[in-house]
Amino acid sequence: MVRKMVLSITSNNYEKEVMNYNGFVVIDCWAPWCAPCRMSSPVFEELSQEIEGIKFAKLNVDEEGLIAQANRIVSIPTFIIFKNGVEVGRFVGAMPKELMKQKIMEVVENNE
Amino acid sequence: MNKAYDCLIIGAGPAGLTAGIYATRYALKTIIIGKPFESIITHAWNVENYPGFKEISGMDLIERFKEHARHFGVELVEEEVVSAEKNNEFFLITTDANKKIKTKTIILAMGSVPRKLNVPNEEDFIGKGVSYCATCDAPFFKDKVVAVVGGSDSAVMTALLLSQKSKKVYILYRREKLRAHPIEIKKVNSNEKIEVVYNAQIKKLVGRDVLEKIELTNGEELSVDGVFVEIGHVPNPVIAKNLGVKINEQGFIIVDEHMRTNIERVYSAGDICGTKEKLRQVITAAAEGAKAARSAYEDIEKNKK
Ligand SMILES: Cc1cc2nc3c(=O)[nH]c(=O)nc-3n(C[C@H](O)[C@H](O)[C@H](O)COP(=O)(O)OP(=O)(O)OC[C@H]3O[C@@H](n4cnc5c(N)ncnc54)[C@H](O)[C@@H]3O)c2cc1C
Repeated sequence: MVRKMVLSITSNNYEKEVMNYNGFVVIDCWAPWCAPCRMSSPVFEELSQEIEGIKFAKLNVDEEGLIAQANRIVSIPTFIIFKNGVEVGRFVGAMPKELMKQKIMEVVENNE
Repeated sequence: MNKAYDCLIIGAGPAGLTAGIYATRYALKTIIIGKPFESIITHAWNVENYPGFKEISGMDLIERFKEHARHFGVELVEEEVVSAEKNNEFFLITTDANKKIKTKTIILAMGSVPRKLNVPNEEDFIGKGVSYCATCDAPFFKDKVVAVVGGSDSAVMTALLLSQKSKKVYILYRREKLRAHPIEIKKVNSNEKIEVVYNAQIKKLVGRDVLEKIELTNGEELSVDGVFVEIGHVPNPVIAKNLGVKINEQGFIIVDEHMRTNIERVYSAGDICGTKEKLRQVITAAAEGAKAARSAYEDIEKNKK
């Protein structure tokens, strides 16, 4: 199997990869200082290999403060789901893989 | 199913990891189930009272514990235990990945989880202004107004941390006098950004998309961007109950001085056990983990004779 990469969002690709993207994008908003993020990021990465048809991306809120601010992130990890550049859902906190999968799929199914 | 373990430890915080180090050095076949990064110590941005480290972040400290346990060959499974039962002379536990593991002894070291405010719309504001992890979320409140709920050491430390970046920090405490360490209270009193509001309890969280203000039970309103909840921690009693282990009124596991519970070959250590008033720190959790491992070793040896 070809391993998909979790795309890193920066101010250079945010427009193209998120705002102007046609389809679903789920973004893991994290920072190196955040302990729960160290648990949730590997889970997120695993899901990116399992779930088809959704773009998985991550945002380092430390380095990309403006994008974090624009999305009003005040807790990490926060997971935001966009469809065609519009936020359709978000959830917060580290959680087991099955629960994260369920939360992502719920938002996607409700917005298909 | 593979051969039974001598000692199975649930929880990978300071108590569980230390128990793992000791049990392995007693030559017990040992396994720890739990996630070190989920230990509550990762919420401490700076630990200054664990001997040998003048200053270390909670995250780095738990990483050292984990490395130390690994060094002695402890098996660490980063999963969650969902149930435990007694099965003749063995215990059988099941993880969230549906692994079933057999063991002769169990050490319960699951720590505790942050207590919630218990106001009606709390869940709606998680990630939108309500936080239970200041080390994670404090940086987002630069130049903002925030409130810390609680009067203990961790509440006061959180307020001091927030005051470095935030514009204004309220401490909301339901009693008349903070119960934090005098050194920390002194720092609060001389900090111009911090205002302590006594006899204060939150009634309601208000905001359209994000938190905008809070209403107190006395009718007062405060405009805030964030609320940090630091009102202590509660143990999760589920697994103890599975095993028939006795807990006290507050839900803490009852242990004797050697960390034995009422159930034979079940022990407990760290934040999850003992009286409500007990000192709950890394050093005490580690010490209890060591004691629990020795009790497990002694009981196994006794059974061999
Ligand atoms: C903000 C803050 C600052 C602090 N600062 C200090 C300080 O400066 N110095 C100090 O000494 N102490 C400090 N403490 C206290 C210290 O963190 C605790 O006393 C200590 O971590 C307790 O250790 P423990 O192993 O009992 O529990 P924890 O560290 O909470 O570890 C519990 C472990 O159990 C696991 N677990 C829970 N349920 C399950 C399950 N069902 N299956 C598998 N695993 C499970 C968790 O994932 C975790 O690995 C602080 C606490 C807080 C909240």
